[in-house]
Amino acid sequence: MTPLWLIRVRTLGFALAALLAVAGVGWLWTARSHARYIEVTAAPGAAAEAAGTTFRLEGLRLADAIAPVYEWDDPLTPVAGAVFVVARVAYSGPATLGYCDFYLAGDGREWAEFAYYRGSAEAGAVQSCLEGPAGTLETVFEVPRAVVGEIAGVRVTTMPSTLDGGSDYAPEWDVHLAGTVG
Amino acid sequence: MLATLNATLRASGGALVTLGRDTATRLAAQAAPVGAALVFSWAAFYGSVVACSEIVMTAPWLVIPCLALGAVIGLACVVYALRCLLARDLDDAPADSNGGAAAGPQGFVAVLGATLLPFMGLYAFFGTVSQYARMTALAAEARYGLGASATMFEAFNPVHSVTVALLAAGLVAVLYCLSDLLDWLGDRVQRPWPGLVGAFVSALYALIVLLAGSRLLGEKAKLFFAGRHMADWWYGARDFVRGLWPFHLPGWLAGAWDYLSGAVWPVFWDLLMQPLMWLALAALVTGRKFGKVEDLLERRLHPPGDAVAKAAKKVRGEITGRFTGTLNSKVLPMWHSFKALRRVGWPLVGAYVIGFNALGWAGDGLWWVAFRLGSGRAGDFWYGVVPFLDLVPQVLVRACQLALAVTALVLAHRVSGFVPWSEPEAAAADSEPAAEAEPGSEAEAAPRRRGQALVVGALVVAFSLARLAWPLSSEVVHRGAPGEPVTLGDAQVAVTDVRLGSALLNEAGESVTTDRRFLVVHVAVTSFAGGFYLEPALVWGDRTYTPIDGLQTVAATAGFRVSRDVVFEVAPDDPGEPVLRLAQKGQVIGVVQDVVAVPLAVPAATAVVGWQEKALEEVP
Repeated sequence: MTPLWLIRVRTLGFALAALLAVAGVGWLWTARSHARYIEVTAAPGAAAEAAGTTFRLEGLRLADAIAPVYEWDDPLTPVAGAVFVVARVAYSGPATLGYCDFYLAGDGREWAEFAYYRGSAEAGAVQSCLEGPAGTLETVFEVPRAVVGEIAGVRVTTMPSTLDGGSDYAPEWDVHLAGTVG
Repeated sequence: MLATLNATLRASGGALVTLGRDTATRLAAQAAPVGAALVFSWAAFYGSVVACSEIVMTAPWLVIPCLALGAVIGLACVVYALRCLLARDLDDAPADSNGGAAAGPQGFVAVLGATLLPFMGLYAFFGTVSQYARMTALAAEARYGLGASATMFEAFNPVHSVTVALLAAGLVAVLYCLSDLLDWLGDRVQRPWPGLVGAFVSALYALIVLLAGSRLLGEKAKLFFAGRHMADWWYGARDFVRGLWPFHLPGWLAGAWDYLSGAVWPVFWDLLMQPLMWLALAALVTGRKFGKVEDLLERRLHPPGDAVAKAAKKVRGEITGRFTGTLNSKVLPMWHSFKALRRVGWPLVGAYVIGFNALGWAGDGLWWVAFRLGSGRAGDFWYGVVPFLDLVPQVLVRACQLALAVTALVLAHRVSGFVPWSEPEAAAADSEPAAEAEPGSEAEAAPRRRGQALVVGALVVAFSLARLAWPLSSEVVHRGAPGEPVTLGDAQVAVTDVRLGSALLNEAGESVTTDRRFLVVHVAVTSFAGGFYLEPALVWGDRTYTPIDGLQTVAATAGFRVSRDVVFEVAPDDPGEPVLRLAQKGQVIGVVQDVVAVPLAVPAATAVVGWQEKALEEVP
């Protein structure tokens, strides 16, 4: 006959071991699923390095119209109730990146780049960070005017260029560049 | 007949209550070790999946041993759980004729070595190993982004690479021989290690067959066959035989046959076989050996003492053994376990099968509730909670099912004298017709047993139909109506303005015509947080239509409302009412899928209908 205290200790041991197993694997699962991106963060005006390239958010400004895709077209305007937010990002590195995508970060939500933006030649900015290893880039987001106050910066996802993207895996980077409109 | 029905239903109910009560008592007594063992099994499953998702892009072939190791550790934990549930009964196991312990109560490692190999065979047979591959694909997508699982499966694709085909075929052949060798060695050396290594090899074999071998046979062999003259001969012969058939089956009969064979039969088969598999596994854990098909055949054909037969036996045994491996390791344990229950009576068979599946259904029900509670959430959320939700079926439900299987097995032992812990000789004796534990003469009992078998069969079929009627699928359908907005998570969907016509006229004055019909419907999506994407499709009768302009999604970003016309080209003779289905994109494939389903009242067709081709974006 097993003593009651031993049964209790054994039960407690099993429960603790099971709890540890759930916590351990759960943590591993959560941590690794967030490991798709190597995350770096930069304070307002500061630079952050990712994939051998340095990024810095030079500023965020509002615009009621942006340059059209073709010179002979009218300037592009946002839909009623919305506004354009133009982000100016400087980047520099030894090699051209594999890709880079920009998102405007809000309070728990974000906006992808405005699809029809060509880039501002007047400002000397390039259209994409794939155009060279260094430059200043302007990208545009269309957001409801009511959310301008919640904008907290820009997120850049990028990875170094690989010769064979199919099998030669390189980690992706998630760069959070803090900044507000104004 | 009515009396038999009534008596069988009452007996099945009684057996279910007895099983339920005994299962609860048994589980309560061993809840801590069984729960912990199953949690470790769960941890082995998800631990190996996480590890594989780390290496899948850099060393995809290492995924196979990694998953196999997880499967073996997971199974060892299940064996331990079964062993705990059987602990008291094994202590009471009868002594053998020599006064020593019978075959059953062995050490855990010895049991593990003896049972893991057939265990893994049964496990793989029911597609459980494929869950490892499926979850690894899901984890790879979450870890490396969309397309990562395609990269993983491409690495094992023998159709696109001769090297992979040769490697897969070679590995399958080598592992098959190795598994056979370890099986043989296990019988000879009486040590646990051949069984343990054999289980690992068996898992490797199952995974390679699953990931590469099935495509090798399913695609490459088919493609090879299709390119040969022999294919023409085969199709010609098939058409000739079909031409001899004097009439065509009526449509309703063909439909009924399709439904029975395509929908009811797989569910019925699964409902029947899964409980038997676990019963067989429980019997294996007792240390029971089920003999071999070739031995049974030999005993039938040649009685003991036949000198010539003895000489020929060895040779025949070796030859037939090549072809009966699957029967020995998978079918025979299930058959004997089923017979053990049947000896007690058909009501116990029915109660066990239905009780086992009801537990599984309850587990699915908890998922079903979780899907509805988290409705409208995106893929990241579901990916994060999947392992924790999986604790319900893998630990809670599995513990109850294992306890039920053990209880049924022990009940069969107590009532009918079925000895789970026996040597092959005893197993051979089991194959002989056994006296039923029922009152009355054999002449009276036989028709009663047939009647009971029919009633229990009908009960299981009814249960199968009930599962088909309420499938508790991962699809969460939100019913809507034209003009009534449907809220889905942080978004709202509205369907309005249904039109039917033979020509479309867009904003630019351009028209498109058809000799069928265009069905146009206006869809508006408002997103309050994050991007929201819907994939439209139209289900009308047996047909499913996709939009004519290749439109993949109707999408809105945070704070915007996007609306546009979605156009389907439909057959004019589709019966009934069409249903517009808008599936939320970006959720976890195979885990949850939110769908807005809107039945459309179709207006009379007009010659030309307007078509808002461009999406209209606005701030609501």
